[in-house]
Amino acid sequence: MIRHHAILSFCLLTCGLLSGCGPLRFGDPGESPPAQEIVLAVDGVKLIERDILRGDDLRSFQQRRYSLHANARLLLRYEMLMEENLGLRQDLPVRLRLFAESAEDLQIARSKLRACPITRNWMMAATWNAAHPWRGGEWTPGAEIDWEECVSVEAADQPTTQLCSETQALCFNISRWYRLWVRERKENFGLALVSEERVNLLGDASPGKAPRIHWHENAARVW
Amino acid sequence: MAKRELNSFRLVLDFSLRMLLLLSLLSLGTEWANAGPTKVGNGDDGGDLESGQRISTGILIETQREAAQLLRGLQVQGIEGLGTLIPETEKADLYLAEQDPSPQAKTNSETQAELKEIAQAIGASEPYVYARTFAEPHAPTRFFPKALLLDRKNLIALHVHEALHRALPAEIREDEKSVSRITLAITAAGATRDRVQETVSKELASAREARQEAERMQRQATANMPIVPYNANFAAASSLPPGPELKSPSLFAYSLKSYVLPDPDKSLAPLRSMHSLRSFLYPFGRGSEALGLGIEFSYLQAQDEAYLGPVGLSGRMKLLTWRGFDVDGFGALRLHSVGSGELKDSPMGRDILEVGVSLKRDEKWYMVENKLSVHGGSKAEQKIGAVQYTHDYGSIVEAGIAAALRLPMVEDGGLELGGSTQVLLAQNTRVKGGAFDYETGRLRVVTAGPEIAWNQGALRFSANARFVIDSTKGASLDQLGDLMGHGVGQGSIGAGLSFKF
Repeated sequence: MIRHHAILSFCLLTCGLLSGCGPLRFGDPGESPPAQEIVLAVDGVKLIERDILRGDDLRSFQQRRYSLHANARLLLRYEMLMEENLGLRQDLPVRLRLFAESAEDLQIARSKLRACPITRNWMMAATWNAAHPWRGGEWTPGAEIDWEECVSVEAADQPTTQLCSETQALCFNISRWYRLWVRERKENFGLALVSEERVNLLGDASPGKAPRIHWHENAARVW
Repeated sequence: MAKRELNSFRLVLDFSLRMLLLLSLLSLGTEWANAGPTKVGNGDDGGDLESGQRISTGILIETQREAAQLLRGLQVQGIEGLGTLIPETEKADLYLAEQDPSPQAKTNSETQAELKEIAQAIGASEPYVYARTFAEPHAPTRFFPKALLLDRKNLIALHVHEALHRALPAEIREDEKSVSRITLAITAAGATRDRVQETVSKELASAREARQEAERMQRQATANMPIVPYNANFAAASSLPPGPELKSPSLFAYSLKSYVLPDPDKSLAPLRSMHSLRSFLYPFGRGSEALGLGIEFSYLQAQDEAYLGPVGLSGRMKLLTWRGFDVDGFGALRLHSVGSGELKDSPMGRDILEVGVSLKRDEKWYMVENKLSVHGGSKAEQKIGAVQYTHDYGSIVEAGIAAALRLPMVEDGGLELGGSTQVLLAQNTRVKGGAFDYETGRLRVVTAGPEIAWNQGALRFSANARFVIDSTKGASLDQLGDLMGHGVGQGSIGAGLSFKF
């Protein structure tokens, strides 16, 4: 009799401890663990324009607004994306989010703006004619771009995260770029925003509306 | 630890320099020993040595043996400089001249003084020419009839004296005063080996000091030659003053360089020109061994702004003069990161230490200088937007030649036409920041340019140019990252005004 009481007490204590630490999950082996969204400001934001000749021209970085057109492109790169400690989930999309300056810019961007993989490394001193000012830095005017892999702005009616549903937000699904370039080729050369028609985008000096990269990681469990 | 290493380095350097100096002195000594007319013991032309009769008996032979015995008694063979004195004394062939030498010698006051020295040394009462010999090993001794009037003691001293002219080291064997003093030390009553050794050591040391002083005077004379100032274009390339023209070595100079920039999108520093104010003074040391120290300030004109540029500290010292060439050692420290922002926050914002050697020859009509130096590697930090880049520069080896033709058109100056060329080999530079990682590989840049200058007294006005004439494809002076040393772009056009004092 005493032994039965001891066993019962042990079971109750164990269950109490487990339930006190959090939800008790036994889980389905096929179920994906919960994900949490990671949103980080893109640190490499660089305007290249045919008329801006110097790489350290102050008009080409840390601006509140960038005006893109046939002779002006915006280079974007989250510099630390190659870090192997990023727990980026492969089964969920990687997105790039920007903001148009006005509703009119939003309309133009939805139809004309494209995000294209850059195929050559560059630095923040890049210009329309050179990826960097050092020896051998010259590149195809306007940056070396993989035109076949360009992506357009996600349609407004597509199910997106809360992040992309904000007013005048523009989202690009760059999962394919991430898989082809960063994950497989181990090359993080970033993306170029290209528009043949003039469009104004908010820049990295705009508080809260700077270009951001968005991905998912496994949620940290609380026990 | 660092201090100990520094001391070791200084010891090695000091030893090397001394060895170089010793070798050059030995070389000069050999040349002097073999050059010019042969001098004779008593300082005349030796014409009276060409006649006489060899003798094998008599008082001269007897005193020759006694002189050798005296020397053996003093054990002079173990004294430095006297190792061959005994054989030179006892084995010398003796000749007796038929008559005394020509009285013309007595009209020479120097010879008269020497004769008095000899007379005192051998104890003779009258200053006559008693004997002669060539100041070289194994030469015979020729006696004159007057010697037969001397007593035995005087003759012994005379044998020793003549033998000393042949046996002593070359640097003092022809110095009549030194030889006479050693003769006295050997033949004086109560002479001891120690006293003889002390006298010989003293005379040798004195002679060596005199030789070194003569060397030093010669070097100084070379350095003080009334020459036109050096090629400023070459100095502009090295940012260092000329070799120590110790007559008025200090320098105060202003210069302006306007850069020839490459394509803007290949330029690391958008600089149009640099003004430089330089003061180079020689406050330490004296003569040709003075140490010059300099300070240089620069003021940079960028595309749309101007600001204070690098500060340079430099030093220069003549190490030695070798066959008419001045060998200078120099060093320079260029501080680019004295302030935040502006130049510091650019690929040019790095500190550079340069050390090198210059070989220079200055003549009335021309000047030529070779220079070899090493610029140490260092890092520069640059932030563009939100990305921080590190430019890790490798070391640079520089070899340069400068030459100028001088046309002394006025009394204290004239026109100078010259030019210089430099070969610069830069080791790999790595640029890293964020996802960007780039290496330049080894770079070669060759520059050359002319210079024309007008010198008038202490003033000098010059105009010069320097251009990249060859380089690794796509490389420019920007990529060396040495603004004050080599400038930027594809070269520069400049002018300067200096005042020497």
